[in-house]
Amino acid sequence: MEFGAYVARQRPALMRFATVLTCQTWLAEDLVSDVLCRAYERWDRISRMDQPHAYVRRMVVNEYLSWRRRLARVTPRAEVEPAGYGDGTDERAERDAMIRRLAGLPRRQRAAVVLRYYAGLPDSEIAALLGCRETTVRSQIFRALAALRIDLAESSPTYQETR
Amino acid sequence: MTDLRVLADAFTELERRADAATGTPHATVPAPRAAARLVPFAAAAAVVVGIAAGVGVLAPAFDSGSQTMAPPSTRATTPARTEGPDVRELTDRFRAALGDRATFTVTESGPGLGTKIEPHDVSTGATPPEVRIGASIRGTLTAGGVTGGFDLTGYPMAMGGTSWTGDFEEHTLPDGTRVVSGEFSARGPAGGLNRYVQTYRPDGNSFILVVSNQRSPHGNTELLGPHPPLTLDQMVAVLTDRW
Repeated sequence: MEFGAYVARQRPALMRFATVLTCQTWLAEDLVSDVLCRAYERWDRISRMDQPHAYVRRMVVNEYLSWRRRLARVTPRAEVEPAGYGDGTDERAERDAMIRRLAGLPRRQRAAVVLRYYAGLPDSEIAALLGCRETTVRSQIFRALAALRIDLAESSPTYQETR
Repeated sequence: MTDLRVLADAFTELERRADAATGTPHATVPAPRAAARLVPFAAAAAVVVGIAAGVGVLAPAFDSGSQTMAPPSTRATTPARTEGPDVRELTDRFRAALGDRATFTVTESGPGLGTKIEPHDVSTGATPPEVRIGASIRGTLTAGGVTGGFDLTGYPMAMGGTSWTGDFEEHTLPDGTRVVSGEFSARGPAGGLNRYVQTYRPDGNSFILVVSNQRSPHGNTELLGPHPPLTLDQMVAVLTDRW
């Protein structure tokens, strides 16, 4: 696949993934642009891989984990919450509170949660991505779920873990 | 305690925000675009997946006097990269340019609002992508007792290659600065109006200022006033008087 075709097809998905990972659209844009720029430089090799998109997504995770270290020094902590959507339902409040808790997680915990519950990766792949052992992934997710105030026992069958 | 459904809802909402930021219709499968077109405001708000059209986009660099463009890449596969000033510099310049016209509060900022890839023909790889990084700030602005949202981005970009849609006026100042200005509806159920001014300076830098009567010019936020807090003439003055 040509790089241009890849960008056209997958950039929206990368942006979604990066936004879920960072909880900030502007940071996601920067992250994805940076990663695509570097991916372009080595596209000959990436395009020959079995799963180029998985590789690029891994680049996003790696960039995120390193980006945050730089970011902490140069950008304000302030986060803009979308305002004025209007109806103020309990579900919306609950969801926005969850986003705030997600944004407050340590970055590796957040990455682990996103990779398991958003990207649907098995712990073995998450461990490979984060460069740690599976037991570490599980403990990170355990702590993250506690911070997110998620009780797996309360989850409906639709949202039960499949692994 | 809650359950995984709420986490799934949070992911969906973040996806929606990503789609809103990139102009991608939510819950649709994005299809490759034959051409990307830079529409007003899209430069600061939307990701341009530039394909073949040669338009595309960038981020802020700034200060015409001190910034220089990155030299052309010597390797065909190395993207040219231009980095602009930081957020603090942009904020300070905006404050100085506004003078006593208005006060503002920055609620979101970062180097990435305008960071884009600008391939002239990325589909063939004939031209390496160009990445320009600068600073953008968003927030609320109050003038004459009226408050609204604003978005300010500065970045290096030449006038050529930009396609304008809608009712926008363009004129050139004596110093060679080209000014494009106009109004368009703010997105979202609240309605609202955005006023847009973009300058293309002779040195190759461009600045975009969008002021809205919604909390955010990017839409989907509540109305803060009956009209944007600055007129188009005031916005042109802000971007040209003291920059």
